[in-house]
Amino acid sequence: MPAKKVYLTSPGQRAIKIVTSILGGYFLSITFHVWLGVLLPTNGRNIVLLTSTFTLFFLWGVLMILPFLAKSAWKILGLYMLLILVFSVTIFYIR
Amino acid sequence: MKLGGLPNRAYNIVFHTHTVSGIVISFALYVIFFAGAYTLFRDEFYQWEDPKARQAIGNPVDYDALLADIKARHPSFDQSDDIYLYPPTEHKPVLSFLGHQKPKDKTEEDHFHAQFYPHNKEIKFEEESSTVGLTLYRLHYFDQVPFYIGRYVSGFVALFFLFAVLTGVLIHWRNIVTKFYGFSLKGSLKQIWTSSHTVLGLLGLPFQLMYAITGAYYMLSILILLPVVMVFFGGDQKKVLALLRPNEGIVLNEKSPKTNNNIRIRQSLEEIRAQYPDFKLKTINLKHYDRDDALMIVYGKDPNFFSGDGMITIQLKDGKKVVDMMPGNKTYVQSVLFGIAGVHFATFGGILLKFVYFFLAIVTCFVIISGVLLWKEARNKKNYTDKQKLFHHRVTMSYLAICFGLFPAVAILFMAEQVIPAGAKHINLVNSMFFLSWLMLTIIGLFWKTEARLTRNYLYTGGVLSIAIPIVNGLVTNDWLWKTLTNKQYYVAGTDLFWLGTGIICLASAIRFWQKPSTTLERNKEASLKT
Repeated sequence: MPAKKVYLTSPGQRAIKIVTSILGGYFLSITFHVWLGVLLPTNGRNIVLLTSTFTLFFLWGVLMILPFLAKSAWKILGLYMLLILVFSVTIFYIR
Repeated sequence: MKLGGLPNRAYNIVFHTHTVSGIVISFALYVIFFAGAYTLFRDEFYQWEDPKARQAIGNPVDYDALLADIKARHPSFDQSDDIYLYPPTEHKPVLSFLGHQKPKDKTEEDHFHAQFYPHNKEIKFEEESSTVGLTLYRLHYFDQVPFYIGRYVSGFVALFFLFAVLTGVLIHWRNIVTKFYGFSLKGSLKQIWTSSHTVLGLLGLPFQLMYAITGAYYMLSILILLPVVMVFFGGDQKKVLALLRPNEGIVLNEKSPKTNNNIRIRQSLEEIRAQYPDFKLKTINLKHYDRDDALMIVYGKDPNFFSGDGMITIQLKDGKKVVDMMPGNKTYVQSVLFGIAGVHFATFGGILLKFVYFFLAIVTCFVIISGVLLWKEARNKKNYTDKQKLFHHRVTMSYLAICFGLFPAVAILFMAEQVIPAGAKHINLVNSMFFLSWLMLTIIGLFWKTEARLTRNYLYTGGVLSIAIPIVNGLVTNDWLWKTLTNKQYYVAGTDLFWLGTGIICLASAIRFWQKPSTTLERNKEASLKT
């Protein structure tokens, strides 16, 4: 205590990680929930919508941590964007 | 017993994010939890804050007669528009009314308030005339900050709190079993703060996690609604509302004829009461009251079970149930939001549950404060320059001054409510006095040099002001503690007793603390030499 500096990343990488963490975390969490809803019939959608009132934030919280653990900020950003894209495209075609 | 913890690199990274997110939100989170803790008892201390409400609950209200009376005294009252009635309860034996009047210019809707006192049948055309509960309630999501900025800020504070809770669990995973009984007041300051931060943080974990998530939901629900409405409901927000409350989906005919032959409200309510004897009414919403297709929507709660919230919609023409969401008849989709409200506002149990919540909220405040102190003490080492140490000290002092200054300011808020005379400006004056005294107390605190002295002085100020609260109440309203106790006005007496107890505890701990500052400082120096 405090954390050892050797393990922390450079400011530039950190900025990307913070953006990935907050914005990426949100968009990944919401697209995942909507994607899950889209796969289900109407009643299932409603259940997903109401369950997301708490699970959206929990998943967002977890997804906020992961980018900081990644070795490369660009890779994790790419991964998040790829997943968001996959979910969004599926949502767009199935809905 | 040790569990497999994080590897070294991950541990240090998670630790750092925990520190940064924690330090950034700390004082805001403290204010949220502290103000929120008092808000739990908003109903219970209502009679204390509004002496006019210190009455027996009175006979059942005849709602139709009341609405006719309001119409007679307030001719522009539009009985076809939404009417809200909040029936008198044991906590608040006053009926609140919200109705619409025909708008002067047609673009805006125009509503007005009234309070009805059942014991002497007096009607006052005003909003609630007291503010303590409302002020603290609004403070706990920073609603006083204009343009909804405060609401979003508090939402993101809740979100980062969730982040801090999750990272905190990851950090302490390795020793999470021993932390259950690891509390100790021995060792250096740093060890004391570490032990209280981790042990109390762990004990309060489910409570804190729940508040992080429900708090984020309340302030950031638009982040769910916006995309979901776009994708699932074709952009029509009303469809979501109709899903949660089917009564919102009923379309009323604007040209339906006026009538006087509808069933009387009281009769209809008695039928509900006969069917659900324990169901406590909270809100009655009337639509098209003076028309043929009048609807009465009744909200309430059966306190006997967790999912006891309910709603029923009745057609006043023939008494037919249109929507039935009474306890036991709700679907999962209709129950979730009631459940979130239940755990967030501690309404699923009795007064004891509220005390447990209050205690856990204060414990959380302590976890936040010990986190800040731990942050400072952990940096009280040789490899930090004096300039850096001074910065850490100043940050800690400002945080503590903002946080601890709130406590005496809340005591002043309670007194201001009684001391400042009733009138149109009352609420504004009480609020200005509260926020100005908080500001003053914070500024004074910055001059108290050390953290120990600052804490002690705030305990003294807060303690003395707390004890003054029952005295002020006695002087202004003549309801002294012994009087209210013998009259069985337990909510008024309970509020006085609460403040008396708080004051005594604060003064007692401040007096014990009085000899401590010198020794803590020495211990502080010893600790800094060791590390």
